[in-house]
Amino acid sequence: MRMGNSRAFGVLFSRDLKNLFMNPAWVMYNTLFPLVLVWALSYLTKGGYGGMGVTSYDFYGVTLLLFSALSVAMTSANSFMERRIKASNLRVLYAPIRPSFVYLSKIAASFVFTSLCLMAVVGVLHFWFRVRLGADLFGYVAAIVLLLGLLSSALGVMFCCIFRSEQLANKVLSPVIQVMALGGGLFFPMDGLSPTLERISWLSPAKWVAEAVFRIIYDHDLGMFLPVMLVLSLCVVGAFVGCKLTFRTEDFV
Amino acid sequence: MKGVLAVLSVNVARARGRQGYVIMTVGLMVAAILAAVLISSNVDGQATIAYVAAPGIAAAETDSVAPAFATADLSLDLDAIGAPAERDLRAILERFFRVEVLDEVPPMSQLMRNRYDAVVVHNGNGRVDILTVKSDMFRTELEQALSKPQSFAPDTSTHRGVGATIVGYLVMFVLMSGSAFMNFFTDDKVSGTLRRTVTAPVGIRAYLAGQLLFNSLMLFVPTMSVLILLKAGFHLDIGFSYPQYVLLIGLLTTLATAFGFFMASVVENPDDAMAVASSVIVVTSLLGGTFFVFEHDDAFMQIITRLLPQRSLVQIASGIEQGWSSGQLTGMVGHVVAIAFVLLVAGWIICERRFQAGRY
Repeated sequence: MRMGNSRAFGVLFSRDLKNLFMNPAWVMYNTLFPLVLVWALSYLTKGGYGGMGVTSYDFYGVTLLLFSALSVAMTSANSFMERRIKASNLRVLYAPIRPSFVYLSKIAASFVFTSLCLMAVVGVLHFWFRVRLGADLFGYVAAIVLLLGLLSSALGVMFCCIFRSEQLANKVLSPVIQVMALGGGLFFPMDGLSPTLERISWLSPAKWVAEAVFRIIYDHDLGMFLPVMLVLSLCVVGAFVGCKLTFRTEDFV
Repeated sequence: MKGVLAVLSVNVARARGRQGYVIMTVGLMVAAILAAVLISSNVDGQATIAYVAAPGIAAAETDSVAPAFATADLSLDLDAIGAPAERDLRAILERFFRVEVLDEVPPMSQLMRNRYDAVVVHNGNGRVDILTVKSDMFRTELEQALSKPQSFAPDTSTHRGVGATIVGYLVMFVLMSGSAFMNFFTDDKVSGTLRRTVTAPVGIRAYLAGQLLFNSLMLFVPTMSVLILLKAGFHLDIGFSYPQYVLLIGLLTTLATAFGFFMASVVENPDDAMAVASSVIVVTSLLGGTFFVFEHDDAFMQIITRLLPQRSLVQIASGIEQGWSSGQLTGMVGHVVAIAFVLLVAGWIICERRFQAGRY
């Protein structure tokens, strides 16, 4: 039975992954969109940087990479409950495999798909835009970015389970991600604007993650790495439990 | 007119039937707007300087600066630049900037995150080290403030008032919500209700006008209510008067509705429409300078950004603040209205064509 389970999961997973790669809108959203955003924002703000050899790409390359990792939820929500896919989910539920595979394979497929996209983005950032991404400490940065992506992927599916509709989940997720990114200073540096805002911005998890990443890259300081990884991991576990509690097979009828 | 009212009242009934959805969407919109207003009313445009008085320790030798960036960005000799008698650098800085006094040089990451715009290290032997990742222009400004405090005046040309900042932050959020209530229209296309309504005495004009009006109201009323609540209820300074906001928010919701409608007519699949619309909105709003002011040196980019209606919207707001003549403002208002009109007409024609081709 164990073998049968893993094979069934493999079949579902590879199908879901293929679905994602074959949807041009989502491939573009995860590769081209972040790069255009990095280019546009860095281009606009390039006059504001220059001291100590730092360019605007160094700032936006890092923050928008984190923003892309936060946006993984949009992809996973879509891959889970899009109209075309919902019907096939129902058929899978009738098959003699665990119902949880339906959402687990979607989370895994979105995670793998977006991680590959993000790494492609990282490649362009490094070789073309010459963004500093931590050099020999890049492994730590990548670990944080990917774990954030996994959390976001699980949250996207959990939101679908809670709201029982992909459209509604998208509509809720989109502003939540925007506000988190804005509050965390991912679109423009927020800390220097005013002391009150600096304190408020700690409410946004994006801020902690960005702080940890900037410390690794620019201070070679790994002090925040483990705490952030731990908190993200706990949140991932929480999101999986949330999916298990809120996933109802009736929603697919 | 009767048809428009009928569509409106049906939409209200549908909204009642989907209370969860409506409350959630409006609630999120209000939360985003509230966040935008609170953030922007806190922005004062002052630079933050970290002042470190560490006699004998050069910034370059401190461990906290990562080796790759260890070179001090600029070293000023106070005597050589003819510094005034007033040697208390901290007092000079405090006149022009927000100053935080620190015991040691903050790490490089805090400069990257803009926690501090610059670090000024007073070495005690008549030398000052300035560390900043900012542009040469900012460095020069800081240098001038230190060397000639009497004649120095901070550059405020790019500073916006509270009102213009609020409008700038609202643009992206309201545009994002622009398609929130267009999904009655999208549903109608899928379910065949559109065909039945349009062939009934209501007609396509009244039907589309009703949908557009409904969407605009659902954007306008919550946004305006938040602003009124903050001003009247919490006595927060929101910059403009109510009539001025009615004009600005009215323009913004018209634009948002027009764009939402255009996307809903062009892209039939609502999921794809969402991804495309949000990408377009984020990029164009940022390029249009809604969050911060840009001056483009590149002629091509200048033309591109001038075409963006978001830019005109924010310019109207700053124009009102700076007391521009109504002639200058009318041009900008005309630009926004024209773009909204083009989007509406294009969406309308596409919808009508597809309807006649029997798609719905």
